[in-house]
Amino acid sequence: MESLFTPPVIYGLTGLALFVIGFAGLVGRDHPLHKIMAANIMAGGVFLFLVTIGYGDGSFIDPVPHAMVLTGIVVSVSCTGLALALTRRIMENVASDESLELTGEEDS
Amino acid sequence: MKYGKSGSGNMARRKKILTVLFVILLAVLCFVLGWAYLSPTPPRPGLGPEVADRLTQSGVESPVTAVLLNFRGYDTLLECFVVLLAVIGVWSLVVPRTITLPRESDAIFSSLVSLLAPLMLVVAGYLVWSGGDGVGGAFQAGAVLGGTGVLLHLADRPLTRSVSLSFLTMGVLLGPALFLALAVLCVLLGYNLLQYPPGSGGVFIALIEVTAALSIGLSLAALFGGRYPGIPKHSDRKDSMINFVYRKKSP
Repeated sequence: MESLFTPPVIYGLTGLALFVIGFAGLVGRDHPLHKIMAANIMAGGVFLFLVTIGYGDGSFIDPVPHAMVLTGIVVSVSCTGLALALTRRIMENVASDESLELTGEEDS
Repeated sequence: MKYGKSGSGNMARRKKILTVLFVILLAVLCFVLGWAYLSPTPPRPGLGPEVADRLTQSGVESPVTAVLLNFRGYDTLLECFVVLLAVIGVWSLVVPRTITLPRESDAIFSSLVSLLAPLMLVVAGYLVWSGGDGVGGAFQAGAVLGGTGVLLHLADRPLTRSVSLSFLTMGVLLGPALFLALAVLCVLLGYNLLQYPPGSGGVFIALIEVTAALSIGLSLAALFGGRYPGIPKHSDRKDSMINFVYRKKSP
């Protein structure tokens, strides 16, 4: 039992689970905000998985995945910021479109 | 009214089938990924030994920093520009004045932030400095600086109140611009792009680290602001070209 659940196995499987949970949200949810959150959960899973791969069995540490995750986190935060700003803009347009549609229906 | 009664029932059934199929797909995905990860593989040495062999040439002692800013420098260069692009994207959007967060001034939070902000600046400085031989570097320091910016923004003290807009813009541009300039300088000196001249790797990396940390921090804070801070508060939506086109299209 001890040999089966070593830290790399736990971290790696947690990363994969987060990836699948995020994927489910990304596809299954309609609201853009939910999709953004789901994409972030997916990214978190990928980061955890990559760091685990870089850790290996503990005897060596591969710095390349670590460097990729390091920059990836900052890039994902930036992309989330842009996505949120775009979403706000889209929702504003959707809201005004819907109000236009509603008034049009009331008229006819 | 587009769909008849039988049509909507059909739709509901199709949706149900799709949901079941999707759950099966997720289960298969879980199983395949888990199986692929847990199945025994030959040992992967990765690139650790290669990095360790060439660490002395890189100009820094930390393998992660060496990979980040020397061995895979082009990667980091592009990532700096992704962050810059995100800021340009957010600043290009016209956000109507109608959506603003209602903000209450909180004396406790605001005094906590005024205590924390200088401390966080020191931590960010330490992180840049420690990137040379240990854990730390431009991106960690940038994240701390960005967090400081977010806290200041939440405490109703946005960056543009303490520094001018042109300083903020220059700060956001400085890191990517200097990184690119140094990359081109390498070419001008007769080396490949981002192939630092022998012996000068440390200086190049230090310059990039400090400016990139500043730019990343300011960029993240600017992203949290969510709009170009230069638009006057009482600008009308009709000013914008985007809204002009949008309004013309709608009846």
